[in-house]
Amino acid sequence: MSARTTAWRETAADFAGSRGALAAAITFAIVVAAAVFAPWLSPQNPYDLAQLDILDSKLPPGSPSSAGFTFLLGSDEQGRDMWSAMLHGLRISLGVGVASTALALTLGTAAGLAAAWRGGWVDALLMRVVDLQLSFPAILVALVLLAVLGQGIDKVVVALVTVQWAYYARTVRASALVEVQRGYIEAARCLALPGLRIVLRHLLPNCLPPLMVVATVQVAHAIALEATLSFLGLGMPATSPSLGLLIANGHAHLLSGKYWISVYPGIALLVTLVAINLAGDRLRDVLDPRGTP
Amino acid sequence: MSRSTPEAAIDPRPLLEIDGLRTWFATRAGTLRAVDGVDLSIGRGEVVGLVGESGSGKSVTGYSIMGLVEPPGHPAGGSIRFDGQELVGMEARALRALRGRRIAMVFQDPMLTLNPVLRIDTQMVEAIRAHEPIAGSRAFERCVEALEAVGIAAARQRLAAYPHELSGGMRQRIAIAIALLNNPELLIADEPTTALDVTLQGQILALVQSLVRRRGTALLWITHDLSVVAGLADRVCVMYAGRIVESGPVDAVLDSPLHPYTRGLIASVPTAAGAGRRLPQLRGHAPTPMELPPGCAFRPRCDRATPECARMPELLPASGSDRQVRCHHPLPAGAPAP
Amino acid sequence: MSVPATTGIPGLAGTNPPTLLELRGIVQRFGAPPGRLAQRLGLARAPHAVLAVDRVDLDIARAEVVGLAGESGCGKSTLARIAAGTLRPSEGTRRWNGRDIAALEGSERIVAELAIQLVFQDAHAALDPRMRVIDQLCEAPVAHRRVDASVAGALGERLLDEVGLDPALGRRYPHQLSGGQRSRVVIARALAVDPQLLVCDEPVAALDVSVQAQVLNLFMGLREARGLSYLFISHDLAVIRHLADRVAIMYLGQLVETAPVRELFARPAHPYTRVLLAEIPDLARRRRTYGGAAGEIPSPLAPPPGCRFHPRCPSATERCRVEPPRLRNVAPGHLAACHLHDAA
Repeated sequence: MSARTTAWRETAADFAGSRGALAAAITFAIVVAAAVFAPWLSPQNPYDLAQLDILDSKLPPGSPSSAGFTFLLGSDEQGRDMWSAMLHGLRISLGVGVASTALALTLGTAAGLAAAWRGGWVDALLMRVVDLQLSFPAILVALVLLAVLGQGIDKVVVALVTVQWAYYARTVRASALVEVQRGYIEAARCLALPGLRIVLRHLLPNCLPPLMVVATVQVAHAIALEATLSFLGLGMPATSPSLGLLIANGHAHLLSGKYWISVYPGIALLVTLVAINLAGDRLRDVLDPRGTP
Repeated sequence: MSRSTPEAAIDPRPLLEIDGLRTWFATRAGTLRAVDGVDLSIGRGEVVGLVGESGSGKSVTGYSIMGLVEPPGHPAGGSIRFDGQELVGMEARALRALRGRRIAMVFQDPMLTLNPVLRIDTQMVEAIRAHEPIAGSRAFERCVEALEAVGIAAARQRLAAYPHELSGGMRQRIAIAIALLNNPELLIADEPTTALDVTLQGQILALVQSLVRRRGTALLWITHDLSVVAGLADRVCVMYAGRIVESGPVDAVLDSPLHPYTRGLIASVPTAAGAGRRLPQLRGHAPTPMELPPGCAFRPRCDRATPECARMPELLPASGSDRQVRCHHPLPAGAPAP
Repeated sequence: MSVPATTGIPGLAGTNPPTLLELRGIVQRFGAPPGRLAQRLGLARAPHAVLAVDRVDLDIARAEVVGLAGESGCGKSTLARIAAGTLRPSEGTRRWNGRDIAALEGSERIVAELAIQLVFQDAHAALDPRMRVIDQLCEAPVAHRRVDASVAGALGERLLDEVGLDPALGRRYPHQLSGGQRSRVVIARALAVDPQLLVCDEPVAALDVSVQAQVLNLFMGLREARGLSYLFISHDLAVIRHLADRVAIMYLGQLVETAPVRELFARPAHPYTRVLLAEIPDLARRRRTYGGAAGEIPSPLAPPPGCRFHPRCPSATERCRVEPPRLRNVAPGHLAACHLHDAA
């Protein structure tokens, strides 16, 4: 058996050692499955305005719809089935979170590796940009960006990548600085291997474990941030609501007793974030026994 | 000072007697038998060298005597009698009272003794007052004397320092001073010179040697370095895979080893006469304590192994009452060293 | 203080084999000198830099084994890295077959760099933990197009066999090997690019005695089979005596003595060398009364003036406290930096 599979199995066994983390991971898997199969799980396409009937507006859970199916979790102002809207909203929220995290991860890793490998002014410049970036609250930067760029899924992703890449750059640089001091990097240099090859084949794989932990937690941040932006009306357009926008839509009706418009998307968001964070925390404990933040 | 006449008269009863000591570690991958049957005795004022390669269990033996083995390590059998008292299973408080007062230990890394955030004087005064209710100022004077005894000039200034402000050699001297503060009867030294340069190693050896000789302290020197044992010890015990495989007076063991492993180890040391020639080498490497072969653990590397060696040999007296060997086919006594 | 370009090798009397690597006036400072502004404002505090290596000249001839000994902090590891080319010296030149390596370009540069390979003390850290042994062995020869990727596996197996390992171990990851096996893999990886000089930085210091003997034998066998030269760095003079043709002793960044190995052990000329020789591991010296040399190595941040060894030297004079001694011949091929030999 190869070392990689053994190491992976050990990590998996360690991970499963905590029941909470295992439950969180299973929950997260269910959430992802629900988002992926949303079109097949929902009775209605909530983004197709032709399918919406304004007469179905704000019906409580269990009411029959004019199209014949039952509003399991009620309907919203525009007569959307909350269950369908939630699944589709989850899809957007997760998609935006994962996509922006992947992009920010790539960008930040490249910047962090460049800073650690080149050192000198490259390092100084990149790290001052990172410091500058991290000295502003993420939500403020994102709000300003969206105010300038306007609404839309692509713009939200751009805003999220902008506020997130710096975390990865800093994490990667920190672990890369440790690794470049190690003998195998010196050996690669002594063997006159090209710099790019050393960075990609030797440095990057050895910097990945701490990165995976940060990435897991950052997906949750990205989802929460997107929800916040949408809640504030600066994220997704009203025609394709994400979880944040769904919560915002129901916000006005909370006091009138029509709790379901806000509460069910809210629960979905909460469950998703808690599951990711629990799993991420456990992953950190498993991958890094020293418990660095 | 002559080595054969320490001031303290040697009591014939051994100070420390270890019988069949087992210290195992429960790990997820299985039971790691770090120490698996160690028999060892140290007389009063005697200097014993415990030699072994990494993973042989020599350090764990030292920690076991001190009761410093932390979980998942645990005693799995055997007895350790110090001055007639059984230490295995002793109440924690009684063991603490013994440790640091009658038995002390110095480690390879002096920072295991020294607390990095406390000044030297704070730590030393605490070490004295843990065992003796005396005034702080009296204790401080004792610390000054102790530092002077280990050859530290300007002892009062050094006492006000933090460990990181001192050099590695200085830290090891202070660790030794702390270990000897309460005049222990037994000092266990776990490779305290391994991390040091050769000139510093010579200084530390000189220091420990003169102190234990003057005070009649028994010394268990744990090391991988045969030449240090040759220079320092009266008696030597050789460990392999968690067990003592040979013990005896240092001259006898080094000049005519009985166990094939001992002979291989001695032959592996480069000598002036053999310069430029191939060293006689032991083949393979030591087994990890996780995958010990049944029977004699040295069997896979041994030229003299026979099917009989699949049965564990006992540590038996050989070639006179003062030597012991754990081998079915020991080398003839009196055979020349390799 | 220059050393003759070709120093004779004992056992090869009459023939002076060509010098492979020449190190000239090597200086290595750590810690940047203060900027111009700091100097103007008078903020520059002396000492601002550590002279880890201070004007060292060293030659290594074809098929010669040069042992470099000294205690920690003497700069021997730094000098090893400079010799191997993984650290650029602050001053000084490295010449390979008479040509300045820094001035070489393109493939000539790579050929010279690959001809000198480094063997590490910490074999565990020197191997990429996430790459199979065989891939690490073959990476450089394939990347430099010395072998075709299709036959790289065979090359890797041949290398493992050459260092005495079962070729099946190539499929493993470094953490699945024992310490001695990892040491052999590190040596095999250096051999993969057909070097002529191995710079070995304490290659056996971390090994157990029985494994150390195996690896020393391997070094001797490789030297015979491949005609390799070594710059062999060790704190253990017994190891150096065993392998080396010529020995260089370093103290606080400077070479204090170089001599053919028998000459050095028979007639050490520098008091520091004598101190080291007194502590050489020796099983025949039983139940010694240890004396211990005086003093500790001073901080390289503030080396003593004059001869750097004078505070610990039993025969230091007033002159030693002020005037740094230069390396000079005390016998044919035997240089020492000590004022005591001026009278002779």
